[in-house]
Amino acid sequence: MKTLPFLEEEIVKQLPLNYRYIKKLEVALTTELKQGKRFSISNFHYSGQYLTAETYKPISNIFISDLIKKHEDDF
Amino acid sequence: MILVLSYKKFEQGTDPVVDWLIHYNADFMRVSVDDIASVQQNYTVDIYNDDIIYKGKSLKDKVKVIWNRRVLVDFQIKAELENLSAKAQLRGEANQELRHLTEFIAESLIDKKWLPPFKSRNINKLDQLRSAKNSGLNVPRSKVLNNKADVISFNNELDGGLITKPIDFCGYYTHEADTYTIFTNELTPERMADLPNFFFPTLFQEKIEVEYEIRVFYLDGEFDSIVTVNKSLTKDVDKKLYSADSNSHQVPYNLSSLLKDQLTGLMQSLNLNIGSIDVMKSKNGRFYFLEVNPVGQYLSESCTGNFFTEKKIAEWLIKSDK
Repeated sequence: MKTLPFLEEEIVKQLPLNYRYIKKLEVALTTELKQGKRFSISNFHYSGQYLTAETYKPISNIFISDLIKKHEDDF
Repeated sequence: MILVLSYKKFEQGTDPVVDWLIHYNADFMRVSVDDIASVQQNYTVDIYNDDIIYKGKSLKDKVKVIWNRRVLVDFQIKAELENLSAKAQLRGEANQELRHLTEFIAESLIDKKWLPPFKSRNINKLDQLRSAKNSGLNVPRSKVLNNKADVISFNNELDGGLITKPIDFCGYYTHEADTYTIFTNELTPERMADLPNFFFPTLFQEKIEVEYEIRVFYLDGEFDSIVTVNKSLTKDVDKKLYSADSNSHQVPYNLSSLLKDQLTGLMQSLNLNIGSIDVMKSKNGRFYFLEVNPVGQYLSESCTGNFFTEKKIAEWLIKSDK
């Protein structure tokens, strides 16, 4: 029976069946656990993809649409 | 004013929206359970006058809309105590005090516009399946069983076998360099043979032969959907285990009008105005509802699908504050 290393088999037998099929992962790849690993290199959460995505933040408070509108107003 | 309820620390679903609220100069206040449990923040819950004063402001007066993102209470005693059972009891009792306080504060603000409504936040997943079926959606045939004979009988009724997963949730158990958690598991013939005659009530579902899985973000009648396509032959039954696989690709996806109508009906029946919905398309072309998380994560899909979901949430809050 696959189980948690710190649980006796007798305890696991009393729990829902799913605890017999528990999956082992490496803490280092599960950065959600805040074990001091860099979130941006988490393979588990494929967050490396965030680096290729457009930033969600309005960094400068200036948008292209604002500039176009300003340009249009000039005419 | 917009009241944002979330963690004090970084929360990937909260902070990008707060950035947009700042950008739009929105009138908002962020409050965390840490603040409620804090011995540093000054606030008063005035039961006699039916008001909540936080940082000198009457929340009953000022607040029009509440983003109910994270309000989980988990008070920790920050000291070692030799008596572990006393420590657990103290923590439990302190958390119960905070839970009652949080519920009272929420009830006091119940006439405000909530995203999602306070009482809809923790919807039972079994209830979700029943409501989805009543809304005309396909759902996997599901049973909670406690004995081997019924599992075998249920399995024999189905062509594709069974999967099992927690009724609600399993967190991470960390031990040295490893961590343990429960995903969706296939009930293989070996596992079936190993079942004891009786066991703790466990959820079993019909295994659907999946073509692909769709993550749908729903906000007040609007949908942003993304599909995870994986052509690998040896994929797990739980999408979370193959999302990072190099054979997995995520692309924006258009839901059919019928499916949108059915999902909208479900969300209305669950009294939800926001949620991350998991849908599966089977190899025989049918769409199956799996579950909805009213406070699910969305940022990865927002970035990959270029949806700007965080901006849409901020704009919804601002619109509702008018």
